[in-house]
Formats: sequence, C-alpha cells, structure tokens
Amino acid sequence: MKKNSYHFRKTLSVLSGLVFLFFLLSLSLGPSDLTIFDFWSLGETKKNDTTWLIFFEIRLPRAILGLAVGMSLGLAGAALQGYLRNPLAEPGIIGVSTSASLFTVIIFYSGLSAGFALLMPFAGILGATSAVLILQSLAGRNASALTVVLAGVAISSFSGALISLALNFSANPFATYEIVFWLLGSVADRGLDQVAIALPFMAVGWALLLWSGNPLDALTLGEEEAASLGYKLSRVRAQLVFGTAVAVGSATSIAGTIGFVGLVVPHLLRPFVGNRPKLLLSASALGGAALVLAADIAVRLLPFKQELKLGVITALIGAPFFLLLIIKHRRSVL
Amino acid sequence: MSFWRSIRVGIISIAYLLIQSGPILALDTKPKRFISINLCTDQLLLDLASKEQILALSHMIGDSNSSPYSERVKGIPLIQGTVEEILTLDPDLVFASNHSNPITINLLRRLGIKVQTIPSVKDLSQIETNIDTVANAIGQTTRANQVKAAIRTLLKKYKRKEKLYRPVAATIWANNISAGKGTLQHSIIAFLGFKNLSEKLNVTGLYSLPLEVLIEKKPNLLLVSHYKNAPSLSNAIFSHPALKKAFGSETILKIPDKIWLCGTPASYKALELIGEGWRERQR
Repeated sequence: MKKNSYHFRKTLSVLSGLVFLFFLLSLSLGPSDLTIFDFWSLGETKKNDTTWLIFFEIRLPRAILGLAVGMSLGLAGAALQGYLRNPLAEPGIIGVSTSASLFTVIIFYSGLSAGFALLMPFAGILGATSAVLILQSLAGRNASALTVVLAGVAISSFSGALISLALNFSANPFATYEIVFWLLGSVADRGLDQVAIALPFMAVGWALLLWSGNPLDALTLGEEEAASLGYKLSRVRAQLVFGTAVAVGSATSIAGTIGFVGLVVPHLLRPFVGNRPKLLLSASALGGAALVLAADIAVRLLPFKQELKLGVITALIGAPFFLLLIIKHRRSVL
Repeated sequence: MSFWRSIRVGIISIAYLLIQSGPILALDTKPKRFISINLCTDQLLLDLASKEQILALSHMIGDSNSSPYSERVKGIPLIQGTVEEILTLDPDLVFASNHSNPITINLLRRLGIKVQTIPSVKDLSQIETNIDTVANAIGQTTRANQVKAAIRTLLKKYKRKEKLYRPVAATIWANNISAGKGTLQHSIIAFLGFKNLSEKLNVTGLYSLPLEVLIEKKPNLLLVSHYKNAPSLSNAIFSHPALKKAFGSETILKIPDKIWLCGTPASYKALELIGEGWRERQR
C-alpha cells in the first residue's frame, strides 16, 4: 500500500509536468511565428495588441480546451472501465461521444443554439446520458465485455448515420463537410467565449467522477461486497453515469468526437497506480489531458495543407492498442 | 478504282454533304431556345437573353444565398441539370461551365444536343469575353454592347489614379478561405488599387488564411463574406472574438458571396461596393 502511494505520487507529478510542458508548447505553436517568449516579453501592454490577441484569444482557448477535453475523456474512460468492469469501455467505443455529437449537431444546425449558446453543452450532455442509458438497457446488467462493445458499436454507427442525415437537412452548403469535425473532433479556432460556456460543465463532470473513487474501489470486490461496505449502488451508478455524461457530453459539444483517449490512457497508467480505480481516476485525468494536448500539437506540426482532425491522431494510436487489448483479453472477451 | 465504284462513292459523298449541311441551308440558323445548367451561365443568360429565349435555368439561380438574381427568375423553370430534364425540354443550345459535370456534357453531345461551355472567370477582363461569347451564340449583340458600355462607365469611375500608396486588402470567406492572385476577386481589388494580402504572403489562387496570420498582418481593409444562412461551423471565424477585437467596423466590409462568386455583369456590383465603401472610410 505504501509503495503504491509512492508510485502514485510520482506518477501524478510526472503527468502534471507533461501536461504543463504540452500546455506551454501548445501556446507556442501557430501559423504566425510567435512563441511563448514573445508573450512574456509583452509585459503589461495594451490589451488590443496583436501578440496579446493571438495568445489570449486564439491560442489560449485552444490549449485550455485540449487540456479540459483530454481530462474529461481520460476520466470518463477510467470511470467507465471501473464501473462496467470492462477493459474495453470507453466513451468513443460505447457510443457516448457520437451520441453527444448527434444531439449537438441537431441543436446547432437547426439554429436553436444561435440565440442561446448554453443549449450546446446541454444537448451534448443529454445525448451522452441517453447513450449510456440505452447501452445499459441493451446490454443488460452484468453484461459481458463483448456485449457492451457490440451495443456501443450499434449506438455509435446509428448516431453517426443520423449526424450525416441531420447535416444533409441543413440549408448551408458547407454543413455536409462538417461531419468530419463531428466524427473526428478538433479544438482549433475556438473562442474564449465558447470555452467559458463548456468548461464549467466539464468541471462538474470531473468533480462527480473524482468523487466516485471510493465506491469504485469497493466495486472491485463485487457489487454485494460494495453494498455491504455501505455504498448505495443506485446512487453510485447514477453519479457515474451522470458524471460521464456531463464531462463527455459538454466536451464533445465543443470539440466533436475524439476517440480512444479514454481507452488508451487508463490502460497505460494502471500499472503505475497498482490497479486501484480511485487512484487511476486522477492519473487518467492528467494522462488524458497530456495525450490530447500532444495530439493537438502533432496536428499543427504535420505538414498538411488542411490541418488533420484530432480524432485521426488518437485513432492512429488507439486503434492498434484496441486490437492488442482484444488479443490480450481474447479468452475473457470471446 | 472502277467507274461504277467512283460513281457510288461520289453519290454517297454528295448525300453526306447534303445531310451535313442541312441546317446551313435552312433559313434561320441561330438557335432560339436555351437552357443553362450552371449558376454563372444562368446569370449571363438572364442579363443577355430575352425572357422568351430561356427554356430553363439551374436551380441554384433561385437560391437567394448563392444567386444575385434570385428575384428575377419568376416564371422560369429551374432544373437540376440532368440529361433527362434537358432532353424533355428539347433546347437548341445548352450553356454550361467548363467545370460542369463532363459526363452530363458528353452524354448531351452524343445525343445530339449542342452544348456551349463558358470558361470560369479568373480575371475581370474575361467577363467581357464571356459576354461576347454568349451574346454571339444567342444573337443578342446589341444588348451585349449596352451591358459592356455600362461596365466601362463603372470601371472609369472607380479606376484609382494614385499609384504610390497601395492599402492592403484581404478577403475572408467560410472555412478561412481567401482569394489570391489568379482569382476574379484578386483582380477586382487590384483594379481598385489595393495590394492583396496574398501578395505579402506569397500565395496564389484560393488559399487557407489562418485567423492568427490575418490578425498579425492586419490588412487595411477586410472583405468578409456576408451570408444570411443556416448555421455552420464554416462561418465560425466571422464571430470569433479575436477577429472582432482586431478589426473594427472601419476595417471590415461585408461583401455578399453571391455577387462575386461568378464572373458576370453582377460582379461589378462587388467592385462598386468595395470602391464606395473604401471612399466612405477615407472621408
């Protein structure tokens, strides 16, 4: 136990360092040649200075968003894996993200959110909640890992098709092409105003999920044992479902579907925290932030005319990992 | 070659010539009823042809977001531009863009329907060439001359005399697309005496202009799309707080996409808007 907590602290400090480093790097990268040093040397000059605008209004929201979305996805992945006791659970794979995208797409392209921007995260949260609830009813309690993944694939591809349908209804000629954003995600060119709308919701989601650490630990012993330790299972379940939905739903409503983060991060970090779900939660939050920030740095460095979407990078890392996991767990999964 | 064989070849050749020259021998050779299947040729037809000459136009011309003439098409059938629709209407000549679907155009030609393709415009001067091409094909040269005379008066009015100072202008459209050298939009702002931001960035054609670069380079005049349209992420740049803070209303000029999407007589409205807008801002 003591050894574990030592490892845990070391892991957390390494991860925090990475997040800090990537955050600064993210602020330093952009089409104009300004770096973080230009910003420092700026001092207390006027607020409409070009350098200030580029850093504060363009790069800062992007970096904050990368960090916050990564945290949401990492946390949700760790929580879902613990709660469903399923190594393959992840907001992207089980259709939570795509469903959040779908609801946001409907609200955004119908013009409803034009007058009331708060509707965007609300729609995302509603979409995510319904996906988790549908998944539970489809797969049933104590479902096998495979059933959960299959039900998730069904939700995910159905939502994807409906997104395409909704975009086709739009009168805007550009809308159809934006399916790429909603299915692969990006944090580019978002304004601080949009970040300010989604961030509080994500924070609520993080709080709910981080708070569920102790019951998750208890759940590793089995449901009855957890109940005998004094945890109300229905409350724990509600807290986890809602926490995931709020974190992932609001993140997706502003950054689109970014897959595999919630799958890769908890698996990579589990050995460092001694297989304890409670410790894994905070580690995965930081790990997710680091991964998404790094992916967002990668899309800016790759020499393509049109910037790659974030989901492309995370899938390139995540999909082979997913296959490896399937091979590793083949016996228990199939 | 035997005698009879050469006679036979002769007869066949004469018959062939007669069949081929049939239309030439007819009294009225100018085709009379026209279809256009492209937004830009739609506009040229509306400007040059009389209403009775137009059989059908493309559906795009009725869309107030893409077409400057959406009000003028009442009573004219609007079609998707499929071969089937065109065959049923039996036109004498079909106008298309050189970017129109080649499969449609080839099939139309194989079925014996005349198709005239009009090149898309990359420079102001090409507009007058296209006006002439269409006017000749439909027999409306007088009207074309009137249109061209109006254009020349306008050009004279906005031709910039001062050569030393060239303010920098940039266009910004949906998805951060901007127009550089080799586009109609570039030639319009260059004609008005501006230096296009693209020249400073060393890019040509349509290019992607990141918000950061736009703010850093700060052009003197920013021509933004004006789209009254359904919401879309592609328009996010126009409401980005950074854009609003970097450029005041004295720098931003809204130009509806539809008036200079095509190079037609309607495009001179853009020239007028920018010329007038800049004069106002200099006062």
